[in-house]
Amino acid sequence: MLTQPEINRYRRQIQLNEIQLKGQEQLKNAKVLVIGAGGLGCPVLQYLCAAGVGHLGIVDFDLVDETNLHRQVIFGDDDVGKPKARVVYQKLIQQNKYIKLEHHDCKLDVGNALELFSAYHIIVDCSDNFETRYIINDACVHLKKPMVYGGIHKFEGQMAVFNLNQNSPTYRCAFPEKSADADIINCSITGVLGTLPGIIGTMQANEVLKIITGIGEVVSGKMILYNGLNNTMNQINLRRNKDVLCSHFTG
Amino acid sequence: MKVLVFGVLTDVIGQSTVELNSAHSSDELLQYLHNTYPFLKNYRFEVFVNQEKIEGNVHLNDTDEVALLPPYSGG
Repeated sequence: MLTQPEINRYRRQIQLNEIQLKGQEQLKNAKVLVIGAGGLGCPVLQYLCAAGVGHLGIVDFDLVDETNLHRQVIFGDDDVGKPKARVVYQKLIQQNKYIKLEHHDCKLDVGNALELFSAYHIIVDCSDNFETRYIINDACVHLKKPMVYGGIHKFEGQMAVFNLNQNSPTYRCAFPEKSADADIINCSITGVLGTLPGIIGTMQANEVLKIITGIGEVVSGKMILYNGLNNTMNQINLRRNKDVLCSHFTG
Repeated sequence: MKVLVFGVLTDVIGQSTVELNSAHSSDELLQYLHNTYPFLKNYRFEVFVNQEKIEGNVHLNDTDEVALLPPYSGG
């Protein structure tokens, strides 16, 4: 149940006919885990925290680097060198006192993914490498949890919800094989415009709110392709491929 | 036909849209693109025709829209 101070805090959201008190309570009862507290993860966490998602988990093993600051706008000059997950945790505590927060200062791997994910309802993929993305996908398929995916490249972003239910496509249905060559392509190699992860991360947060409250149309069975340079928004359709296995966690 | 190019492939091909009217199949189109842009072979990508993912070779019409989509690792 929401307390009166909480109802006051979220009033502009509760006012929405699609949300109401019921939706706000659903948000309070939701547990969301965000993998990666970088360009995508920070806006996801900030918006979910502000919106009143009751339990947020943050996974990141990395330290704030000076070259992160132009796009990871939660961090300031004084945060350079500090652990990302812990810094974000401390800032979010200041942002909303009504939610529970947990930080996991570790690298996600096949050994800890299932245990970490099991305590949450929705997993948000804000990672920055393919190895982690396949682990997230496979663990979500194994545990039957939705994966809210975001990926960025220079001026372009991809966003989709995978594994929403047992008939919806997974990340492997879109991109079945790992690409060793492509693994080296990330923001530190190619560069990225500062606003792009904010746009894509905010879209991911928007999907999380819709999944929790059951409103609107979730981006499942398709992928949004955003280009910030040309201001184009394309879409491709995806289908569940039953032949695609979640190879990290069989059975 | 219109070929939409995404992500790192935009750097390889030099633009985000290519207009082509000579290919009658997806294999023919990919062969042409690989011959014209040899570095394409270094990248894995999925092929979509009219927003639907294709497996294997499919017939193409001049009005079809083809998309070449690599995964993005950045976050």
